Amino acid sequence: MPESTDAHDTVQLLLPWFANGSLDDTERTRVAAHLEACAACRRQLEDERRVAAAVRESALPGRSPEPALAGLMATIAAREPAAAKAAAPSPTFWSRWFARPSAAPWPMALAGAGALALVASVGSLAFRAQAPNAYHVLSLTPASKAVDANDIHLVMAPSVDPARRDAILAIVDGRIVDGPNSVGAYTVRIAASGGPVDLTGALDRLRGQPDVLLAEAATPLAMPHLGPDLAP
Amino acid sequence: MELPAAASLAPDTPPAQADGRPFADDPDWALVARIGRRDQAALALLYRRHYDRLCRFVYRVTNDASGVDDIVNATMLVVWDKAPATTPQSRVTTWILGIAYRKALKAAERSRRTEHDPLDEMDDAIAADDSDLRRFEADEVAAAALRRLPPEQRAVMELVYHDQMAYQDIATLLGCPENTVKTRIFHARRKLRALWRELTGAAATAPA
Repeated sequence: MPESTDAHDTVQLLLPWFANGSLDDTERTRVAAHLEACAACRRQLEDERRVAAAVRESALPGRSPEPALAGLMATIAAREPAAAKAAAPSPTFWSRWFARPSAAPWPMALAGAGALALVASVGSLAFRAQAPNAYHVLSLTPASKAVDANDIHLVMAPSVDPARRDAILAIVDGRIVDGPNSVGAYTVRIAASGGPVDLTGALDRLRGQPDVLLAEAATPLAMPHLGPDLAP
Repeated sequence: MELPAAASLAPDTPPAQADGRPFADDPDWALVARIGRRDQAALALLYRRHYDRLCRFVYRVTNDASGVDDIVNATMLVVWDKAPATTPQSRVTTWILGIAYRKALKAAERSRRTEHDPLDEMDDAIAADDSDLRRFEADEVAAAALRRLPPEQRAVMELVYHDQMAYQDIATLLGCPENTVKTRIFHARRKLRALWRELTGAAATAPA
């Protein structure tokens, strides 16, 4: 019995999917049966294979997804700063402090470093503010003309006003001899009124103030608690 | 009556692939679930897994290699945004390619309005001098003919002949009835034959 034109048309529309192997069993069987009887559809099936080859061959050359993926991740990080921060190591107190707008550009590598590195860096920065070459002197010799053995590097909270600053200094009978430098560090000299200065005691008193962010001896030899290997 | 066939034809079955497995079986949905929980590593994994196919498909629709990465990234950004609220209604590939299709089609329509197609050099060469025709391999002529199809037809050609997708999945991807998919490729094939004859000269034999 000859097939109807409808059946032929239906099968013709299914041939691309017969060729790509995605028909379900029912339709596949139906197309296969029609192909047995229809030379026109058999020719068209041959044509399907040629077109498939042409489509597969004309394409974009393959390449690495990594550059584009990095771009996408940057887009997402920029859109969702909160999520990006959560994924990053939590900022230290010091990195937050140095990131405040009033602070001058600060080497970012230092931002996450420990307090020890910061002590040395604040010292060198405080010193550099007045004498560019003195950094090397500071690191090699216990004292110099510029930095006294009784000097302290002091960083106070940004909220500290001049009156409060003077009050803090009065606690240790100190006076400012340099600073503030680019990161807000002062060099404070403790008055030697008669006997030897109790630098350790002065540092302890300063650190007891809630608005003192950093108080350290300015010279390496005045930091015996750090030990020889750790002194800058 | 064969039970498996009856079961697969039952009207209440959840969204499933042609072989009857539910779409949720696609392991990529586990990745999408992780992406929904803001897992960027899962996004990177899905991105790498689908990058080649997405690039090919987008390029097929737009004919513009320089804009492919932008469209792929815009697509994956939608995946990132929609992952928390998306449930398996198709394979993941179908879902992602559907997003890419709409973005690529917009780009193709923009360039169709504003630019002369710069990719017709070989077509022009063929048209200018028929004696040069032998320099071009048959597949190059086929590629030139493919490029001249409308972007909607090029998309279906790619999905059928490269991605080997079922017409049901293509209908889902394009958001159109299954019959539209079937007739669209039928017309694309007919147009391709006409273009082939045009590009190779009336005397030459079509690839049929």
